[in-house]
Amino acid sequence: MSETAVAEPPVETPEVFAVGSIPLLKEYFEKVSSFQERVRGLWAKYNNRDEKLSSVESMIYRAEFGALEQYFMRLLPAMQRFTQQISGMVDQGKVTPLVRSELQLRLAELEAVLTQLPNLMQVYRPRPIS
Amino acid sequence: MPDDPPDRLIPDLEKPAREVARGVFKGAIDVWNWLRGNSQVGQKAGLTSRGILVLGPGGAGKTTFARLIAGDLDWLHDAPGQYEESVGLEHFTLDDDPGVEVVVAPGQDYRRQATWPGLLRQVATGVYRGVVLVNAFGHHTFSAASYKHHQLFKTTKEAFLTVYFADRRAEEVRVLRQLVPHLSVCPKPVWLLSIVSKQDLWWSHHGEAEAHYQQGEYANATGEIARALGDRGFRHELAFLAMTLRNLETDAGERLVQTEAGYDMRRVKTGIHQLIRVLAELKAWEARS
Repeated sequence: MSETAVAEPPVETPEVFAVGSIPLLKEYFEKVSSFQERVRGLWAKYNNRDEKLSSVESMIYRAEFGALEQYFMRLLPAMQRFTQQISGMVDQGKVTPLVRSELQLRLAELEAVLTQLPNLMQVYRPRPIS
Repeated sequence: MPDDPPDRLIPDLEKPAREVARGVFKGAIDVWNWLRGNSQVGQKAGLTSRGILVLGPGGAGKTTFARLIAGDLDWLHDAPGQYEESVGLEHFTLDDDPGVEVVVAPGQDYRRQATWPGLLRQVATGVYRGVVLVNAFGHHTFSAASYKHHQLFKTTKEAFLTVYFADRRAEEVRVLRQLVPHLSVCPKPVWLLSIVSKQDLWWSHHGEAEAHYQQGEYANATGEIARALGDRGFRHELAFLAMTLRNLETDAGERLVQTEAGYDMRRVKTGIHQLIRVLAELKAWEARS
């Protein structure tokens, strides 16, 4: 069990990390919730009607959906990394019981949306033009 | 350490690496077929529909194990990557056979409360033909950004690691203890495979590691199941190995333990071969039960 003597990267104290995490959890829960609504709204606007989409409408729908997907896919790795760090704090971090509970509750909310969004996007993705 | 190359630069390497990983098990074709539920013995015994459940504490290597036996472990691409915690249940199918499933449950204590009760009930009713309990002699990867954020950190990294590894070894026993009452009432023959992974991190302590799992509290717990179910109802096997070579590091990039000098791919291969021998033992036992 040997170790190297390399300089360690700077890190916040656990208190600073935990206190700084809570507003970020709130902010990104709101962002992904709003994103979820935008995906549903887009589908409703273009698909929730009897007549078929014109080719122009279809192109617009595809472009708008693609823009939303790009936005989400760029955010996702950072959100996953952040939620994993929060999970580590909930599981074994040096935090007070109240902070642990708040982190666990906020993490559960964010993860619930984050884990379901890819399925939602799969369902609402524009079908290939036949 | 240089950054990992971007994915677009390595697609040509990924396929051969996966083939190597698959080849490890496919080389032992009997064991591979048995894992896939394809063996004549398994079909005759009506065992083909029973899956395999992978349990263990968080960061011990459950997902890596499942990917290894599913032929989906990519040694060239995965080895230097970030640890990815399992959020919910993960389902792996073995190779191209979607009928046989390996279920991996998340290991963090607070996640276990949501997912494990149902799985443990299934264990008690014989849904799984085998349970794989993945341990790591306490060398668990954790998700907190820094070891200084960990509740066991007090003064120095060295002092932290001593306490942390002991705490995680105790957690491994707690997980096994959680399993004991459910396995002990399983109405169908069932095996337990205890994997002790990350051997590359604790190789110089292998005598101590083997004694830890073969004697004392861990062995007592498996002994309780054996006494409840008898030799024909239960079989326990142990396998010590490294599934990949990887330093134990935090997300912030702090190196906690590095792969021991001299522990090379030859030793990885030896460990995998030992695992295949153990699986062959379990296969033979299933045939007799």
